[in-house]
Amino acid sequence: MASLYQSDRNKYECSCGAWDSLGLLYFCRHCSVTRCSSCVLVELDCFLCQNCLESAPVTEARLKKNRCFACNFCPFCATVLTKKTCVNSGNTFLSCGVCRWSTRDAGIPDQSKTTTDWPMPENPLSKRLNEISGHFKDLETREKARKEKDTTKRRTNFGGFDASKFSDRFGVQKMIQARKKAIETPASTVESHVATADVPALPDDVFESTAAIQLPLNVINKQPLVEETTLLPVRLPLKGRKAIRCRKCEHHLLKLDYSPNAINYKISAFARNTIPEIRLSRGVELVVGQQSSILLTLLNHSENGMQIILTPDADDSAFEIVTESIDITLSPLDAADVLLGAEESKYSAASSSSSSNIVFQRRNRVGIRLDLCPKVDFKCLPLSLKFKNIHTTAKLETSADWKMVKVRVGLDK
Amino acid sequence: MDLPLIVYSPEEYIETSTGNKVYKKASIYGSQNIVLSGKCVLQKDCILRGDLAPIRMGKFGIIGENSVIRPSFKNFINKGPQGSFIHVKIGDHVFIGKSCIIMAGQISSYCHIGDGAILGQSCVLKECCEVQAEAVIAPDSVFPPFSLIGGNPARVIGSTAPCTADMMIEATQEYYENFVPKTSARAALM
Repeated sequence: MASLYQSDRNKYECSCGAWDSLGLLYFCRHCSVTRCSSCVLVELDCFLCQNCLESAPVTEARLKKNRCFACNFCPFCATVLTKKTCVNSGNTFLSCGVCRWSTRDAGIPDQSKTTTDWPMPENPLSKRLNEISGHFKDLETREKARKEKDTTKRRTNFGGFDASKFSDRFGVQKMIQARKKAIETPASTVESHVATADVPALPDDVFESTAAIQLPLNVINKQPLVEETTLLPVRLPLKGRKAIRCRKCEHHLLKLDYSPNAINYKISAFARNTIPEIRLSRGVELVVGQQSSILLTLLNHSENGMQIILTPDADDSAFEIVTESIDITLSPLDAADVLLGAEESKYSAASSSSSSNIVFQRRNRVGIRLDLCPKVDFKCLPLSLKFKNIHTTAKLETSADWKMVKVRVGLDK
Repeated sequence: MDLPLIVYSPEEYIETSTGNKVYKKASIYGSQNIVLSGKCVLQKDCILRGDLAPIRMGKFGIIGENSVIRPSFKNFINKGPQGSFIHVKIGDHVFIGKSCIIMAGQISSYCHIGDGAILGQSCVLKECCEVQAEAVIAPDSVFPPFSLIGGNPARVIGSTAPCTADMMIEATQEYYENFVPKTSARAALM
């Protein structure tokens, strides 16, 4: 997990120029570039309730105004309310496990076991709002019909003998009639708001009353139209599950299985499975002006061997490079090796042109020592990572190319 | 940063045939009701209350120092006034930090529970969830997969990385491998 390895310390450069930790990056094999959360297309896969984990299709979610009708949360502390049964009557009421608020406090009578119909706050302006939205829908239909009439090409033989004209087999006549009706019927009218000079004065106690101040801010946000005394349970909003596509080639980079609770991926293109991971082996203590060593671990999470050239970037001249570059071949990840506790991979072991910099080799990981001489105190080590992995391209016939990614290793404690 | 090497004294821990490493003086009650699927680490002074209800733990489960796992109690209308304790199911590759109190009904696989977190009675964590340190989860709460949970009372405050399952497998396996007795060859390298 990110917090166990403190993987937020190490940032990788995305193809769009943003920096993010490796766990949050994707690698598109079709474009052969890294993608981050800001350069992908996100689409909603399905909706599900966070509490009962029931999924809802898009149309149903829209009808329910993106709320689950079975689950409610507390108007005070936003914790999900639990249904409790009264021993004597067998009826149920909702209760909050944190602040102990219950529907009984709100004066709502207990409901039967199967009910999900808890009273919801009514908007006093709902009638007026419906009227206005109906009016705009009507205007939209008329405008659309008029536009269609202008753009549709007139048929030259329309007046001649045509069997389809009488039978209306393809619904053309029906469509024309509907359009005609939409244009000819007079537009609905709504009463427009009229400015008035007759504004009621503020009550005298408005600056002294503390009723509105006592409510927490999140309550006012959730139920702005209800008074303090009539707080009601709030329906839980649905959560959208995301699928991710590459912005350029629109291939899927991430797609979960069909089931809303699934954690297995149908398609997953994590950068972690293509790009080698760099971690600090242990804490670093650098002394300005003295040659120091930074111990790093390189890991290969892919299923193929990987050739890596690691070079420190000294653009900002915060340090003087002692180790120019390290060239290593990493073994692939083998789950069986881990379970059997094997020390070395059965694949060819890591080889290096600069073996003096290798501290340890263990399965798919290699520990390296990077020597440098700091000129000033710096908190971030810039590295260039060139790697060759067959997974970087979707084309089967081509051989792997060298790819490069820039990495910043955080040296803060 | 890499997980550190943790060296323990072989007199203090016992390693079972399935690879579980258990602190000898840990308070494990009702051991006939506790199932550890293998390669689990139960660290110093942790408490498992198997005498109340069965506790089942998947492989590569790590329980930190001073953590308590105790089944939750619930009153059921149909089962008379006494009520009963609910089984605790913990999935594979679950990491429970130090000084946690776990009264959950279910913790699915690849979950990470931070130090000092309190999981209320009968709560359910689905796969790949992360509970931040010192979070207090309300009783009977349910959290969907890939939730980042934090605060008191705990709420979903974000989502975990999509590759959390892979990361948790790696982390728990590395933690288990780095948890070595003084006599081992790896401890000698220190």
